[in-house]
Amino acid sequence: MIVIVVALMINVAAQIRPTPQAPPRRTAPPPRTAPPPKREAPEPAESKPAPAPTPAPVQAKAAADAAPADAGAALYRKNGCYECHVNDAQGGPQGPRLGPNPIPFPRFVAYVRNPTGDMPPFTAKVISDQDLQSIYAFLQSRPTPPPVKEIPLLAP
Amino acid sequence: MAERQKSARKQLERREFLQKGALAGAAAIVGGGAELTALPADAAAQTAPPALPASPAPVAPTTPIMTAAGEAIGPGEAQVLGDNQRSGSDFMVDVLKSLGFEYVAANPGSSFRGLHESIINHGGNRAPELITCMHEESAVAMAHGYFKAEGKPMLVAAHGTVGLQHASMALYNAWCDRVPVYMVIGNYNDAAVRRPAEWYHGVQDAALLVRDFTKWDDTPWSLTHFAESAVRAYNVAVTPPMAPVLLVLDGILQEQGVDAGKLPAIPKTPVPTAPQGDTASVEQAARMLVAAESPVLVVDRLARTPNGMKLLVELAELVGAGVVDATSRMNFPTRHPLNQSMRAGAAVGDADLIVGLEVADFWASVNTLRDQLHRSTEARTKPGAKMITITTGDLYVRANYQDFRRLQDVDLAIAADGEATLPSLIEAVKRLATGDRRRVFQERATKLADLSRVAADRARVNASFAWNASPVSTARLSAELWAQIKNEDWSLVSSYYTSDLGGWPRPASVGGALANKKHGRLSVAIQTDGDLMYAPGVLWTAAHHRIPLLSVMNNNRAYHMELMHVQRMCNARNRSVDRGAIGSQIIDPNIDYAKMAVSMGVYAEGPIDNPADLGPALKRAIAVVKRGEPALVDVVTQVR
Repeated sequence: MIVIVVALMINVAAQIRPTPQAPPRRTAPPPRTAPPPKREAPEPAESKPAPAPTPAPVQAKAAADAAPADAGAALYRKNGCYECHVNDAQGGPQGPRLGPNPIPFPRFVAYVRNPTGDMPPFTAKVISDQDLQSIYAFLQSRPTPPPVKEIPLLAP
Repeated sequence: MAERQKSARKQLERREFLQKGALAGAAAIVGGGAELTALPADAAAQTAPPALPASPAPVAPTTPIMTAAGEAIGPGEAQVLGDNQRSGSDFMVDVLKSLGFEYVAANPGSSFRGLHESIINHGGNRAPELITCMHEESAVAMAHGYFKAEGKPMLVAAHGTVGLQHASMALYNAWCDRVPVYMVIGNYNDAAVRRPAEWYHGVQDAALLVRDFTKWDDTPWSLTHFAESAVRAYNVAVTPPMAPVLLVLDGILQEQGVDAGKLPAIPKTPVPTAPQGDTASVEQAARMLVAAESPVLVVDRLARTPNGMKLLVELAELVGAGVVDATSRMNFPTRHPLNQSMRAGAAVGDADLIVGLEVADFWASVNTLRDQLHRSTEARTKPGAKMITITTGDLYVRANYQDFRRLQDVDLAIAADGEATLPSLIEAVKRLATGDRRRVFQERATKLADLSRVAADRARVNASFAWNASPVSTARLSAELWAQIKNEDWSLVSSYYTSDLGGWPRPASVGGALANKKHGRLSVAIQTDGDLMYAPGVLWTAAHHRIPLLSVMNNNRAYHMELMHVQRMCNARNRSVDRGAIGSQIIDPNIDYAKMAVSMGVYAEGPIDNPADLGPALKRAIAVVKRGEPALVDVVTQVR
């Protein structure tokens, strides 16, 4: 019996598996320990579901905000955001994409403080609004990818 | 018999004499006469060593020395089996051959030395052929992977005490996956002869250690007993619900000679057929399927054979139902228009009928669990949705080690094998489906095809983000790999979703590749870093046995699942969220997996962190695999 799982879809498959069971340990059985998928309940992702060409004003803003974005990159990693939303905030099985067009900042802060999905809460005690501002700048600075049709390896 | 006992006694006496002589000699070297007094008086007198010159300082004990008295003893009786005799383990190999095992995976152990020798000499090291493993956990996991590719069990042999202890985690994994690993262990209980224990490390009930997560075990005390239990064990293991079995082979039973003309018969009992759902229940399920407006088929361990997939495709296309595949088996083509796995939550949420076919944890398919400090659950399904389960899981549940969660209310539960029940379910649906309903089914199928296409397009957009990032994104890794293998007869023997586990995927992928070898398939594993380090010696096994396997490392330099769990705890306790990675990262130093693989004879490249370098490296590695050898490409990846 040939195992033919389409590897292409690995990073994006929304599995039926429910969430986090009791911590799947390394000795747990293979089929049942797939990483817990993101919940159906929406977490704040990007404000736009699909990438759009980055408008010139946004690019200019990104350049102007380079310093906070750099600081934000370090904070994004230090505070563990990358663990679920992945190194470049592109999202993965455990957390949605966050940039380059994040949801409005007030909503972003509100969700980080009081998430409704599986994301763990980050209170003001563990991360300041100022640091969240830097992280937000990092999210805004994420590069917009080329259109899918210009990436031959992603052709259907 | 009397003659044999006499010979044995003579041999024992000579061994005692030599041991005592050596002890006495060593004692004299170490400390003079004081230690000698610890020996029985007769032994001390019998073995009085020649006087040695006084040593000015104590000398460390050396290896036992042959004494003059020992040298004077004549040669012992040569004990070999006669030409008309067979060892017990020769017969055991005959029985195992009758069961059709291709391979036996083992790390050598003294307690099955008889069987080991019979496999290589009496059996000619063919069917089963010995696969040399460097850890019993690897041996069992290889058998696990082999079954999932080949559909039949592999034999595993191990030492009865420490070998089984090493193997136990992998047996547990196989049990959880309902995979029939066939394991034999050696143990010197000597019960057939009833002498005092001679073997220093024995165990009275060896199988006890793993009885909670094996389906059956036995300890045969005669060859007749062995023959029946060996065939019974095979049948028990492969009859759904499948699970590992264990036989404890007594050392003396393996090694004693038996007259060749008096060997017991080998049972020919056929494997029992899998249980089918009863006619009335199957008819009821068919009526519910035909009447449903938005049915979804949720599958997990359904396809035991390639025919299982054909049947599921037939049923899904017949009623225009979406399929959500949890992929514990190869159940449904991933690119079939009715495959809704990429929008599983929505598919289940939209359904008015959910049919679970061999779903290990049905509750989890129709509910979510929010992993916060105070856990809460929520139904995925809409109110009034009907549910049917068809599974052999209802026929088998254990008390201590559990693998179930909450009990899900369902409308119809059929305790039967899913694949065996599909033909009658399909026939019943065909009988009940009118022309009007068939038009509804067709329209539904068209809508589902559109939805799965949209989901795939969304996946491609998601994959485009961080496309050129370094470390390499997992989407880029997958796309680069797909480009190299899509025109081959490929087989994915372990992947991202099954690889974040301790020690299973690596040896399992080698077992899968071993099964694929004779079929000429290109075996591909997406290999995680933490897993590889549990028992990396299986790389050598792959090289030694020329097992063609492409391993592409998803090296995120962490036990990342655990890292996320600890992070969650930091957040729940509202402290130090920047310290969640401590104890779960594999950095400082980074491990050079390519060098490690090369040291064991495996072609390897990496670490690669520039995505542009990946395609050419994969091409070179695949050329090696096509020559019949393993190859590894270490890719430093993003964390998920």
